[in-house]
Amino acid sequence: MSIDSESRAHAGEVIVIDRVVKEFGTVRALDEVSLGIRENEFFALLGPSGCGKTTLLRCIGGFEEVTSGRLLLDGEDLVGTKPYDRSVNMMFQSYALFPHMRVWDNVAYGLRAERLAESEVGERVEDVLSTVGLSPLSDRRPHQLSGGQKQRVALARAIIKRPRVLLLDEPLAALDRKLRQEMQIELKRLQHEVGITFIVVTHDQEEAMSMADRVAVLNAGRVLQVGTPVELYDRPVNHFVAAFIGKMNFLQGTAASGGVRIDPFGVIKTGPNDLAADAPAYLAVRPEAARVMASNLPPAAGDVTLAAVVEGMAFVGAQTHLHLRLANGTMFVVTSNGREVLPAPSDQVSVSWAVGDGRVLAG
Amino acid sequence: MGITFAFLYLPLVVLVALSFNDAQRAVVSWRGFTTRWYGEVFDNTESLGALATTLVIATIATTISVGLGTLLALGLERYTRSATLDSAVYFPLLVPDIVTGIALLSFYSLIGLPLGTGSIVLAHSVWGIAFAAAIVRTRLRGFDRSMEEASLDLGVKEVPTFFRITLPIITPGVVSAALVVFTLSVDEFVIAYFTAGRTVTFPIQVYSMIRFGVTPEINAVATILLVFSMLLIFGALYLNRGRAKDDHRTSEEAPA
Repeated sequence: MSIDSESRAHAGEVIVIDRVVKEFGTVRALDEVSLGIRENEFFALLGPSGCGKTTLLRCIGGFEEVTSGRLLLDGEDLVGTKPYDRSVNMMFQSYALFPHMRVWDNVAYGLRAERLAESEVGERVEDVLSTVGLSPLSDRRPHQLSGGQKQRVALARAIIKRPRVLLLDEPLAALDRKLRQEMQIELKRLQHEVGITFIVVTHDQEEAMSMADRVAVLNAGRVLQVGTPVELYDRPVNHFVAAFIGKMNFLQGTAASGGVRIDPFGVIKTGPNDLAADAPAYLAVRPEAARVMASNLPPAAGDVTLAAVVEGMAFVGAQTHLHLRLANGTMFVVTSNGREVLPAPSDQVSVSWAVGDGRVLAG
Repeated sequence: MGITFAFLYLPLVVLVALSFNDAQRAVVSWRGFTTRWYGEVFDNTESLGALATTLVIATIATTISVGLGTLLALGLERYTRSATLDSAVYFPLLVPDIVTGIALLSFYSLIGLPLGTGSIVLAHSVWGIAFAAAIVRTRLRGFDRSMEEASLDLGVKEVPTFFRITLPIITPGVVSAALVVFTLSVDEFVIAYFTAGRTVTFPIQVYSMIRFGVTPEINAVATILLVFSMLLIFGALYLNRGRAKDDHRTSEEAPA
């Protein structure tokens, strides 16, 4: 690729990660990762623990050297530069507040390193503290703060230098569930307010989906899919992404023309697929895309319909999860939003879904 | 339990009491209260000279020990996964003093190091470094390295990061190491005796005084040493406890 076409391809991207490899001894933590992160984007790196997401974040921050590949910030190669020479700041998972300094001095630390006039430091610290709602606590020491307050200090300290990119390593993991949901909204609001590109690492798919503009799903050091939350949910590219994002029913079989062949049902029609005939394949159906009907009712024309037995159900408030067993023994979950009369355990029912809701994934 | 405590502390009580006894010999009968033995201690130029020597030795040995011991502790904590090296640090503490004394004496004569204040300083630094490393390491165990990374991230280079972040956080450990090493050096007799040459340290001075019998003056000297050591050790304990309280408070308030 010529320089010209490359720069056009990366237009609007603050960070370009180009075939980055990171090895720890013989372990490959990042395996040719390539990603482009856009200006002012809220970008999430999502994956199970050990997938390499934190390693990637630490490479961008400058805490790990990449083994090979390039990391560009505004078109300039970051490889070999120290953390203090990058216009990138990080919020650490442990928050890493300095215990011997007051909140105020923690937040001012990065500005004082730039040798700014103390009056400007003061102004900007006040400003950032009020942005995160901590002004009244500026004289406290970190050990006198609650978990949520510590998180805000860490955030204030990281954004005060107005970095091009803010890295957040599992920012909400240490908070309890209720606070976590509040902070998801708060982080999103803050990102809009300060206008900084956020890259957040998380293992929690709900967190990634609710906050991020785009999400990269990683597993075993590789990027499996990049897309908006809706794209990932509706069009997962493989079994791993489909299983990791939301809930999914999988029926195992082989690819066939116009569908998937699953014993003993024969070919079940699906949306389009590009797998070679007889290749191992999964038919994937979201629980909320399927419906359950009494087995004596006629199926809607064109829908896929299979016989099933009700195994159990779980009422979780707004929804009820029906656990079914198909004729081939596979478990199948249907999520129902309504309060219609539901079948009882061991009832014979039919489960059906629109042909287009059945996705084909490589097995 | 009462008997055990009496067994532990009664001799000290007697020692302190007799140092105030207005009697020529350190007899057990009470002849009235006096502080004149303390006066005599401070009039005795030999004792004062020995005390000065000891304080100089302790100060230099403490500085060397805490400096190198802290670096050693940092190095062990961060750059080695070797259990052998780890326990090798504590080994000098387990070697009997008399063995250390003989070993150092042979070693110093082998390399032709003149015996005197300098050789005692080096000798005390041997276990001083080990002690300091051991104490500082306990401080480092709970140290979150991402604090240093955060400092680098915020634009402060490695060396200033050490002085602004690492050192202040481990300071209580470093200071208590200094207090302990200083106390041990002031008290230490066996190793100093072997490596002293003609130099007379305070414990050696006391030892030579005691050869003419236990006088109230010696009781006074011992009491001074006792109070001095206790102050330093309590100081070291207090620093550690202050830290523990902070930690406790954090864990209490964190879920709020």
